[in-house]
Amino acid sequence: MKRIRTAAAVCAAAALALTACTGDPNDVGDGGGDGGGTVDMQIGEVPTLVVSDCDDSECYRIVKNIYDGLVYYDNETGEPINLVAEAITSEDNQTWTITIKEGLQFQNGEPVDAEAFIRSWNNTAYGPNVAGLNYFFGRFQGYAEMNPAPLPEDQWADPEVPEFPEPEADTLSGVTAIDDLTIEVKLTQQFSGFATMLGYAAFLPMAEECLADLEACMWNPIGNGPFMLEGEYDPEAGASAVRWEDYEGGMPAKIDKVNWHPYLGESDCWNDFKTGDIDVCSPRAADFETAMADPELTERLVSQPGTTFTALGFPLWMEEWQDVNLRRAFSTAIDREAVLTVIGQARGVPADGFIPESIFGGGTGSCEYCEYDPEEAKRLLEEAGGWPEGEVFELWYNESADNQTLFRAVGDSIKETLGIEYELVPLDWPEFLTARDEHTVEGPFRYAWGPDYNLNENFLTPVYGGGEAMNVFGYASPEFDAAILAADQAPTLEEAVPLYAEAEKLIADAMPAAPVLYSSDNVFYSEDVENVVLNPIYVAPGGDCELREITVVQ
Amino acid sequence: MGRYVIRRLLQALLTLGLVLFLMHWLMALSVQVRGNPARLFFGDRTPNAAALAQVEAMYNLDNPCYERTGDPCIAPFIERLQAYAAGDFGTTLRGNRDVGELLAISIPNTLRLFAFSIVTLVVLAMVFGSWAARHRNRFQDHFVRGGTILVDSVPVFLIMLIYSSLIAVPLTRWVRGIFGGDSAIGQLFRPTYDVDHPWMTIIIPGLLLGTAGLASMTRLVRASQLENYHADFVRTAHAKGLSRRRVANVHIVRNSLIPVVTAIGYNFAFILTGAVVTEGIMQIPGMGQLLWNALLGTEVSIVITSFVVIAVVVLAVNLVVDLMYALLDPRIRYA
Repeated sequence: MKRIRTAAAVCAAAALALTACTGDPNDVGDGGGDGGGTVDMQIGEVPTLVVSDCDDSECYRIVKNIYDGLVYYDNETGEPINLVAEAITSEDNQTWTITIKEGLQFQNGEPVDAEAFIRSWNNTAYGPNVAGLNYFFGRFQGYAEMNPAPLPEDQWADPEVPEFPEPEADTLSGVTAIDDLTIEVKLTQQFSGFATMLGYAAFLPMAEECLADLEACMWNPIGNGPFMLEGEYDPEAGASAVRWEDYEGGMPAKIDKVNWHPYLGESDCWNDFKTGDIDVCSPRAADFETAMADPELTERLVSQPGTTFTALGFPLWMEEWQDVNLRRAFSTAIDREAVLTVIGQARGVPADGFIPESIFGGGTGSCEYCEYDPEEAKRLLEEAGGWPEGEVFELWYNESADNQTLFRAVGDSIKETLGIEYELVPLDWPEFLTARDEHTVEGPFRYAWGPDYNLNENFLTPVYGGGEAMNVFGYASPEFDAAILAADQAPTLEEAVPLYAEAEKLIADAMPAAPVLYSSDNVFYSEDVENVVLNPIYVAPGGDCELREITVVQ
Repeated sequence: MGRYVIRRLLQALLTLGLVLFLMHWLMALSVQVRGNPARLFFGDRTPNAAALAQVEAMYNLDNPCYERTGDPCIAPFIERLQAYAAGDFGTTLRGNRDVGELLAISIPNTLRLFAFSIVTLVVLAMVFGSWAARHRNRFQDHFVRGGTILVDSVPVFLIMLIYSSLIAVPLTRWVRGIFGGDSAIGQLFRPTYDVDHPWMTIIIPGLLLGTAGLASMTRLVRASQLENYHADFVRTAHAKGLSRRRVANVHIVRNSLIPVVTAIGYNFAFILTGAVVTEGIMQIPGMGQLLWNALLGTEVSIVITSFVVIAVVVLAVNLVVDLMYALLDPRIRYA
């Protein structure tokens, strides 16, 4: 969940844009470009608007409308469709050629060409810049030279502070401009899902003027998208963006103007939605049930499967948790339907696998032991040698009202089925993250993940990969690594997806985590707007929708 | 007078130093116990040691003392003092924002809120207190006593919650139905603060916050006025043949203001605690909210700087209150 708010949620979406992106912006039935009107949106805390640091749902919500990326994620299928890119091709999945549409410009008149992308990528990938999205370039050739490992410990001035050598390069050697409109990207290894990454903020272009003065650009980015900020974005006061009249891209805006109203910290938009000051809003848990019971409100509700995956992680480094049957017993003992009734029916669906359905290649229902079955759970527990008499297990999570409700329900369900007492261990977010990283958690723990890009691989490699020390479960398996590698090397994405699904099966088999829920997105909108569309991949919490699609009721 | 002020200022400086050190120590302890906030930068992603170290260095959280629980971290404290002396209040962990800038946004909002609530409190307390004093032990007196205690016994957060979640929405819709959505009065009753209408949307929260401490303040006004009703100088004034009104306004009210002014000084700090709740519920981006969110996110720089600002304000208000005594009561002189 936190990842959604602060670190993921890349959104991008593009509904009817399939046609638009193939070059013909005829938005049939929507009144074309002369819809007009103003929309008032809520927004959370925006930490920055610099694309290289845009690792946050709220930043991405703005940036994806100010900029046009190489691809946009289709609003219905979530698949990447070319936006600025004319074509993205590769013969071996390792060397990729990206051609860019001709004649596109930034809002300051600079051309959107190969150089515009390359300068942005080099800036993000350069280690000393400490860009939030730096890790996206880990697959590129030349990344290692730009992000050297720390010096040996005996060379540090202070034994606790690692020191770094100067990077050998300040540009990615794997990225070259073949001509003005063609980029060639060499990856360190084959990766058939490369194109699906390209819609994310890390890969947006940057104008020269912007890179020259990042400070100014931080709150007033120079984009190439359909919206243009009217002035600097103010994290406390928000900002307005107007439709850029000279926009030549494939997905124009239909409204004249959008106002973003920030709701910081614990505050939320629901009351302002009811007075009509906000047009699109997702109520918090406390208001959600009442809202769902109001037929007048539910008439204007968009509800669709979300992309956040919540699980109960197991500490595989602990002796007690090494038996896979014990982990399966726990998973089978969770009554996911009952858990959902506790936190609110419409807020999610029981997870039956490790990747949500709306993700490309997800929804395979790979989890054999995710069905609630008390008999089977008891049998599995017995097979694992039972549970020591009188021992309690600890359930670790980061403290928030929602998490407590959820994990109390999970714990109760296990307790009822298996007769094992549990104890909740709530921690502060930073403390919890550190404890998970360092494997000092002493029992099953909360794990949640939201996607960086629309591919099942994104729910596997970053979560279970990296080896025993690098992932929070302490999971390591040569078969899994081999399966991922095999999929990375598949000749096409279509062939890669089922191969990644094979890797998912290995996870389902080893069960380093017990899937609990997939999220659902629920957004209410006012009488003043229509065509409220949610992207299947990236929906920010609080009240998000596709600003390129929304129209104002005349 | 001058020497007195200087002495007080020096005392204030000492207090400030203590507050600063205490806050620094507590925040160091928070980092030591709750975990290094630099880790938040990565969210659910497990960072490698090198990346984490780089971020820690960027936020000045790489001093080894942050790993020894209980260590007061003297070296970073001295660095912090030097930075303050240079006018640098530090930056936030998330978003790398200038803390001084954030304060410049928050402080005016809180001051507006204070202005409305202090004025409400003083006006209500003076009116009801004087009224009760004049009608001592009669129905009016009992009514004021009962009424103010009743209002005061409802916690501020409850008043705010009831207002913002039950009253504000229908009231706003009704008012807008009559006067139109863009009218000033259409903004007045909004359930939350709005940056485009920074004055209109803060009036009601200010008024509601002003009811906190009403009972004690009213009692204080009543008691101190009653004391003066029987004072020798009031009898003299009556004997001189002054009108009742003049006696009341000049001789009774002014002379009974000393305890009231003292109480306002104390109430200032009290209202500040109420402001955290009020700003939270009414979504006013003021000092209270800034501090609250900073505490949740272990934003060390914001927490320490905010407390310093609050300490400065409380010290300053108390000094002003003490100096006001001399203005209000000719018998008081400072040496």
